[in-house]
Amino acid sequence: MATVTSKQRGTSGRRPTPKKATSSSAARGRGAAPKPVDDVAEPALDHGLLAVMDVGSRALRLGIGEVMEGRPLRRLETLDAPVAIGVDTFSQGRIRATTTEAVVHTLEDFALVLRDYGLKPRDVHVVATSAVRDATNREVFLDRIEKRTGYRIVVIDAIEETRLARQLVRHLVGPSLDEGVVMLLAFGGGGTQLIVQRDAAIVVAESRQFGILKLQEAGPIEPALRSARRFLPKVVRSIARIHDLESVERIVVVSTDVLRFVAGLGEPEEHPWGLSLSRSAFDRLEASSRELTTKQVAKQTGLERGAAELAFMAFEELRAFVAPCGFESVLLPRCSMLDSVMLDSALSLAGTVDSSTRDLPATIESSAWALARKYRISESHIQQVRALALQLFDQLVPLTGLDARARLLLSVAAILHDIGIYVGTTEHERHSAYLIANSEVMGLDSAELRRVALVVRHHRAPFRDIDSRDLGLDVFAAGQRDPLLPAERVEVLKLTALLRVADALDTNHFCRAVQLRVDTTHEELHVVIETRAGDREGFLDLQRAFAAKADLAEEVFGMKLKLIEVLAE
Amino acid sequence: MIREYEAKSDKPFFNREWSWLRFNERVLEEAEDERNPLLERLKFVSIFSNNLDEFFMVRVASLYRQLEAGISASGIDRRSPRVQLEGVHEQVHGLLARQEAVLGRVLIELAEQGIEIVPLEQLDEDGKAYAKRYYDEVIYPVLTPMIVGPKHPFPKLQNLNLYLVLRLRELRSRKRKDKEKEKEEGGRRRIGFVALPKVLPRFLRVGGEGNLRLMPIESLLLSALPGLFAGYKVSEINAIRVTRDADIALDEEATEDMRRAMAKKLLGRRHGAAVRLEHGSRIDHKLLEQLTKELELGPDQTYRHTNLMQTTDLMQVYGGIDRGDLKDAALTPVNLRDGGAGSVFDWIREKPRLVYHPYHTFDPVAELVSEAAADPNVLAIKQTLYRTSGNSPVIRALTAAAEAGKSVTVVVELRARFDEERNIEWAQRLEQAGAHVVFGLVGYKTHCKSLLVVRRDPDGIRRYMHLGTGNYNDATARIYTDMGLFTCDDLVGEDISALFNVITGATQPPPFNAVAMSPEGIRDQLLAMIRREIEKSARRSRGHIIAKMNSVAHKGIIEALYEASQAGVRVDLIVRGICCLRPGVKGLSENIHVRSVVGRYLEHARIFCFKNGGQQQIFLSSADWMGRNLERRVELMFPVELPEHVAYIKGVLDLQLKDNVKARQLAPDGSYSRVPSKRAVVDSQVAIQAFTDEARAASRPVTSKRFIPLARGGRSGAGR
Repeated sequence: MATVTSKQRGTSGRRPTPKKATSSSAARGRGAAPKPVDDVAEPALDHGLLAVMDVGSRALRLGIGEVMEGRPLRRLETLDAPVAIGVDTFSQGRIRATTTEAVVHTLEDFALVLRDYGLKPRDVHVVATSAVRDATNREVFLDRIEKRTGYRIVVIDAIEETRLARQLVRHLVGPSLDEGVVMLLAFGGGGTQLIVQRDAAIVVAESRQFGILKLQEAGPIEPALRSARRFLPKVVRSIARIHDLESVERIVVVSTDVLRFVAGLGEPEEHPWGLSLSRSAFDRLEASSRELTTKQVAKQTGLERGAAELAFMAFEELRAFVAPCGFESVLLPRCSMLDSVMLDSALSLAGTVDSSTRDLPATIESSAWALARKYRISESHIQQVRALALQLFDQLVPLTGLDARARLLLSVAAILHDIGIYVGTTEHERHSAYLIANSEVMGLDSAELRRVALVVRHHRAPFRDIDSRDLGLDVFAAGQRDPLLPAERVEVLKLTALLRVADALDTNHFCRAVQLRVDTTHEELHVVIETRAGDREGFLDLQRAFAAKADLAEEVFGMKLKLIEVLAE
Repeated sequence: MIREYEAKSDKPFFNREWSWLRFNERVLEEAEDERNPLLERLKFVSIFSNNLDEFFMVRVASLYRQLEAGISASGIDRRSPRVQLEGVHEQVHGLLARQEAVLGRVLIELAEQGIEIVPLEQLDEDGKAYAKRYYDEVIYPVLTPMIVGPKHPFPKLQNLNLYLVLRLRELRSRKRKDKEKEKEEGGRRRIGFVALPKVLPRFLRVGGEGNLRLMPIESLLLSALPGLFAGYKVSEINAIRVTRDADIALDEEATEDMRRAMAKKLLGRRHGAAVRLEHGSRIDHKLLEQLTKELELGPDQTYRHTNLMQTTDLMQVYGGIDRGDLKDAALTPVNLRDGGAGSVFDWIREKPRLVYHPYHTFDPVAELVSEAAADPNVLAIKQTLYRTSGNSPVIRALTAAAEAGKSVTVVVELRARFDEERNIEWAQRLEQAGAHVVFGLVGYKTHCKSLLVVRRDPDGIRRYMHLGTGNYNDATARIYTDMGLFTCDDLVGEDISALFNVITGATQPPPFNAVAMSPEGIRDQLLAMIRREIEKSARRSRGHIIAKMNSVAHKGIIEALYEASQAGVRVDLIVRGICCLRPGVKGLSENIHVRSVVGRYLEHARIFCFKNGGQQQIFLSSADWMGRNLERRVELMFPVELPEHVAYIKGVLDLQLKDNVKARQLAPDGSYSRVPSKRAVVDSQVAIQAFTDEARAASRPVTSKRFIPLARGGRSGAGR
């Protein structure tokens, strides 16, 4: 359903709805200077209170926090009510009516606590993950919850969970996390997130569709553990074939279950942010836990049977991921999905942050680069096209009226536009678009990523029309209308126009810099380029490419495009 | 006599019921103690009786239920219910004899002091006439005579109500027809009952010069009975009183298997079964037999009184007589807020505040609620209420706050013994005002005492709290010793918010920052701290635990304390009531010392103090060390950290450990004896008041004297 996906827009859900976006981008169009990316923040809530909720696979969690200038985020309330939505979704594919009822009751209880702070269900930023995302009846569920309780649940993508987890861990552990090769794992009930980063640059950022609840299969634990022991190593080996996991120095695990397991059975070191295990301590725990039964785990961790089983399963998962790594230590920060959503909300509030923690554009581009490298793109060409595209974008802002988020999408489109060549050069834009639409870029939601895919889809070949169905995704089943809103469609057209021009300008790695001049009397747009001397051939090639690809720009901007050559000094 | 019960036993635990009886014996000793003023002694007779009534309604009733259910052994000492009951009855008979004796002595001495309790016959003519008029106008309209006969079944005699029971013989009828009818109905003998109206005071003040004369109203009834049962000849009048099972739905002390057994076998059980019959001394053997049969009581369940019955009512005498010379000299409590005018919130924000009622007044607690109710910056008020008086200032303030649109959450414990109806009434009033009234969790009584005020201060949300060891009851705060802490500490605030969220069912218990919560949390932390005390105890520096509470009966905790004792840790317990721990036994508990303080105030505070290798930790709690508190109730334990508070509490404990007036020490054989007073006499309850005054004086900021000139034509200062 289109409405749901468009609601997912934005990473924190606090970003304006598409309707608002048009008006605000129009307003920005008048001001000439491009604004830094990600300044789109909601005004701070009254009195600095913020409320967030995590609709997880095992529980509903509500957090109320206070953000005041010059002070760290302060948690006022944390509520945790067990409701096993995940058991329904992962075993039956749908959320049962009785579970929905339990959710409603819990949310009503939560509302009473909200009332203590003068807050209403509408004020809560509610985030749901795999348990709702993967339910076949999620729309009905979301609608019923909203109608009955007033809470609006935003279902976030798996990769957004990854981003949130990474952001929180960086916040907790500090900048030292960005040193060296770090693997970050987040084990959820219905999904697993994986990031590998090298000196802060993201190498891998992926989410996988298996989680500890799914692995447990709501059945007896021992057979589930045995099958997980067969299944998990295969998955990890397949990842290790593509990425170099051997070089991983530190492993960060975001999982309350693993944390409990380690706290109860291992010999961890205490830190303000959580626990850590040295390599040798991990190996000891790994060896000693091999022969354990869940009963023993329950006894030693002091957990109830069910929780102990999940802790055991989570440790099994860690065991599999750790196997191909040459790590020195395992860090176990004490944090939950609720913590990460709360932090993100706080960071998105204006004036409350050191925004470096969040740094969304860098995360998004870094993640896009990781994806591009996976498909072995030509880095110099990509760099050049991206630089040209952004130059064009910045200089044409008065004309396009596009905002910082659009600039980011253009950047990602430029980075990813050639990944389809990995499949085949012929009509590689088709392959690129398909790959993008089926990949994940941390920090972008799936609707945004589809728009990027559309921009890439038409970056070469004579332009016809943009149609989301070209992406060949299941979401647009036969007969379904293109889900792009008019404003989004125009944005995609403008970005496509810019990318086509930028790509043309780097046809043969010829172009160095661009200046734009708008000649309004002749309704012409002059693209002035610096070229190296003595290569007529090259310039003619470029002119041909330019002529072929400027069509869309001429249509979109309503001007004639002229290529003007200036010899470089 | 009581002593023998445990002295012969080699069990490591004392029986809980018998230990309780020993507590009540100490109450009786206060009545017997001639050093106490006369009216105070009378008061202790009343308290003794009141305690015993509750004991029969709950504990003895429970033992009978166990007996019926065929449970072979119960309690920490695993004795059979039958053995326990035998012990109870035998000991109660002994105690009652002592109570009657002491009551007799006290009444004689009171008469010497001009306070007489006299029957109707001893009044003068004026008095008799007055009494007659009182009977006609006040008593008669509320009397309901009942006759048991073929057409009238045996009435349900109300729990803890005094009845007059009498034999009736129908006067000869002249009509033949009636005679025949009589024969059909089985003779002309009947039994009659009259209940003493509960709504009326038990004693009638009869005027007269000089002496104060009080007449128990049953003596007035006695003379009026023939008039009540017109047509019958009245004979053999006796007072009786029935005690019934209070039907505490599930005994909190019962273990899981006991519950199951009882649930199975007692489904069809009569509600409110009788457990005790008290009767006057002249009751006819046959009548008694008939009564016990109707009430399904065994012969050991009847108790004979030779003196006044239902001596709980003597509290009315105590309360109604203004004779300072016959009562304890009143101690003047400190009001920590007096002179410290201004907002109670500022007062708490300045530093945490510790109050110890009744040495400190209850005012700051009431002030916090009432100021919160009126403060526009207050967003929410949450409070637990267990036993409280319906017209208490606390409830009035909460109602006002709810009406003013604040978010008010009140956790009402309806299962507070014997108070259910009263609780429901004001709970409804609060709900009508818009408060969110919750009744706690299924299976767990809410016993913690916390008050939480969420306020929007200029620098952010702040939570103001009062955490206590006793109930929010302004009346009992004058008699019960309870500690309370006011704080706005952020970490504690997070904990208490969470605590309320747990009680209202909105969340699972989280890991707490500073406090511990029952079920289980307090027990586990106590066990861990006892274990830590053992670990840190060394020959040079022995571990030390001082704990003060009402009862100690938790097996796990007692065993841990035995271990601690064996490891050389010194354990000083100040336990007012039940103590199942057997102290001073070589090889088991020689380092454990137990004493009990029973005095003018009811010792009620729970204070736990651990030496912790020199880094002493002190906790206050709503929980006793009993299974029900640590496993089947929601309770709270919280730390006290401010050095001046720690010093104050240590001072209080020290005085209680030095007490040689109201303290008794528990011997290994289960007996309690007064502490020999070689040193200076210390009555801790009196001494603590002086100590509290000193602490107040020391903490009061020294203000230099200011000389204020008289304003022309202005106010002249004090007195106006």
